[in-house]
Amino acid sequence: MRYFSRDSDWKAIMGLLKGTLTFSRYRVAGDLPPDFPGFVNRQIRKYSFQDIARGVDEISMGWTSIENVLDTAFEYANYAQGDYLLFALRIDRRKVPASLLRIKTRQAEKEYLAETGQKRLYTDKRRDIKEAVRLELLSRSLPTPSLHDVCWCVSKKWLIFGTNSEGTAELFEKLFEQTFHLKLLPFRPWDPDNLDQAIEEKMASLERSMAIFPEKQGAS
Amino acid sequence: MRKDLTFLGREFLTWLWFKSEERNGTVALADGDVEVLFVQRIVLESGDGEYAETVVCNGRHCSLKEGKAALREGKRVKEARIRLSRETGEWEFTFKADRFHFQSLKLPRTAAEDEENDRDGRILERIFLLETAVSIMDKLFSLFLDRRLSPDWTAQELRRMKKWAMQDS
Repeated sequence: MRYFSRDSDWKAIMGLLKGTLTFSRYRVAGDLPPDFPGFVNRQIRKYSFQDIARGVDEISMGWTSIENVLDTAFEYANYAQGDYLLFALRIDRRKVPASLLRIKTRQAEKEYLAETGQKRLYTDKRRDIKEAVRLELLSRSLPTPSLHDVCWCVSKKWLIFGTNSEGTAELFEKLFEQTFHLKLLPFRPWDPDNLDQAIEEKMASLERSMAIFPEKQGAS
Repeated sequence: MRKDLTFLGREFLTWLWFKSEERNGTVALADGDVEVLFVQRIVLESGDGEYAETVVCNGRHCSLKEGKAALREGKRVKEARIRLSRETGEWEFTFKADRFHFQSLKLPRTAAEDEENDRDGRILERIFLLETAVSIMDKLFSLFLDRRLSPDWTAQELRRMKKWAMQDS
């Protein structure tokens, strides 16, 4: 990941502003609420990225402006661009390295035994110690941020999101639905929703058998 | 329950590889011809999950021979680097068949790119160019599906594909 001196140079994953683009496609399902522009303006700020300086959340996420990662106020509805809504999702992830967790847990167990004079630890106690150590380490670890562009064509009901990662896409879908009360359907051109009815009927007879050459079963 | 048609993604990309070598890769679409070229990298796979077997072909020359050998074993194209050319420009991207995803899409160079100040124009033009690439792939898929569902599929297109896959060059 690269950092730049100016906020606006912080390059998002999809690269809507410059560079190459990596993205997934969606159809946006559901009816737009009345006073859609007003609704968007309220909701995008309500679910904008909140910086948590010190905490134990493994993930914090929210919307930011596409050009300036520090802009979560969206003044003058700067996400609106013609027929498109353009913004970005910032996800900050914290992670405790597994090896460090193991070492620190053993250390804490040893200290506990020494303090209490006990000979051995019960499973429950061992689990409690491990969780306490994990939370302590998590609160001290620095988050790794990532940015993903969103381009939403409202009139044509499609949207693209800057990732190919399933995990990140899931987080995005959830927050999008929570924010805008609309459902996102991953776009696959073979889904019935994207086909004429005549074609859809023919599809029923389609089998997994293009068989230029048949797949060798159980080949190793 | 909906039928799982994900296999169509790999069938489509396998067919597209064949089209990229037939008639110099020129495919006629309703809104004009497009030239399809497979470049550098092709990933073929058979089976799913832990039973999956994958062959990765890198580079211009090895890909044909090894890729076709993999086809003959029943593998299908899962991922490929593709270049689309039209009079209006050239797009290059890695295409992932199972989810119809685009990766590292390079857009044609735009006039607005050279003008530092026209920020809005530049963004809208980039979105337009992105939509064009996406729409060409959608149209290519429609063409594939049309052929695939036609009664002639086995006797015509598939027969030619088999012949192509048997040739080792």
